[in-house]
Amino acid sequence: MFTLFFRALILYVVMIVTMRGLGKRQMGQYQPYEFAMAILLADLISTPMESISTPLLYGILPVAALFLMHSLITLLSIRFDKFRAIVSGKPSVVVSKGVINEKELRRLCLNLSDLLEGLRNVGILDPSEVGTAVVEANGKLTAFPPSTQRPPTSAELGVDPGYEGLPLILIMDGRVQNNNLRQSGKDLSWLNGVLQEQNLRTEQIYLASLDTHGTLTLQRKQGGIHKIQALDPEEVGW
Amino acid sequence: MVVRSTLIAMIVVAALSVCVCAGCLFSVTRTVDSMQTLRVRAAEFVRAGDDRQAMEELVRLANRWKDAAPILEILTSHDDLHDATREILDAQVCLEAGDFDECNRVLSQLGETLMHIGDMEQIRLSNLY
Repeated sequence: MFTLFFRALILYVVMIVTMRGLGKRQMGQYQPYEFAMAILLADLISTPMESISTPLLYGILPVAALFLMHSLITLLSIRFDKFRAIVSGKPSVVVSKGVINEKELRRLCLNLSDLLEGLRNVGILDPSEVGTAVVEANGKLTAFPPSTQRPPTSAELGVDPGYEGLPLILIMDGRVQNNNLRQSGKDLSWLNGVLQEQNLRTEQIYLASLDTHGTLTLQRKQGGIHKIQALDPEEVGW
Repeated sequence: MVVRSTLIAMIVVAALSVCVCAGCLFSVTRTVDSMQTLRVRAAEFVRAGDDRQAMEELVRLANRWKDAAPILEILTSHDDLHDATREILDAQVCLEAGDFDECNRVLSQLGETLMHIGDMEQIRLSNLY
């Protein structure tokens, strides 16, 4: 069993080194060590699962070993930036000030087609519209237009749109969501009162959500949407 | 907070894993050693031509194996366990038929199988590569 345990540890390290060597092309959204874990887990679990003559412990112990290694790498990555850079890699700037960095692309084993495909994936058709593009440590491409080509923000326009947060769902399929109602600082009698003003009952509501501007949007089961200013925006506390 | 819970989970999993590994090493080694002792004694009686004593040792060996099998099935490859069971039965059949040479050969094979089961548990470099 010790052998099995150590073999799993060794194989995991080999897997991570291999994944790092493969570069970012092979990653999706996982970090390299997470990707290695995902691949190995499936295989480790399937062997004792499909073969009755293999003890279950042959699957469980290696998984425990992988868990230990994965947790250790995660903790060390949180604690030490250098370790994180070694294990997960660093973000790479492939377009800077609108200029494509060919050397960096080659280092990442990417070509122009890959870059253009990545840009299309993030909704950019024309590469000249890119100010900065970064291949993140997990292999995903993020791209930003130059400041002259992006839409102005509300701060730049001098407009205060007010606080925007997560809307609270108060009724789902006729059932009151008590936790969310409590979070909104109101109670059931308040909600019933608001509904009665619209000649509605909770059972008739398919979805009711209260946004951070204090607007309660009611969608009836029979169809039709009501929007009510149920709260003063200053009353919103979540 | 997350770091702390991860650390606790790591310690628990590490402790459990080490306990299982150590328990397995102890249990398999002890069973294999006691089986080897019985096997060597049976082989000596076979070589001496004492079929009655040899059969008594083989029955003891078979019973010991039967007792240990449920635990071993959790801990080691079932294929190796089946090989050992078959070889114990073969040795008994050969002895009943009076074929001492064949019985000796099967007992040697059983020794190899038991050694293999024990070796698989040892922490050795040769097991790692």
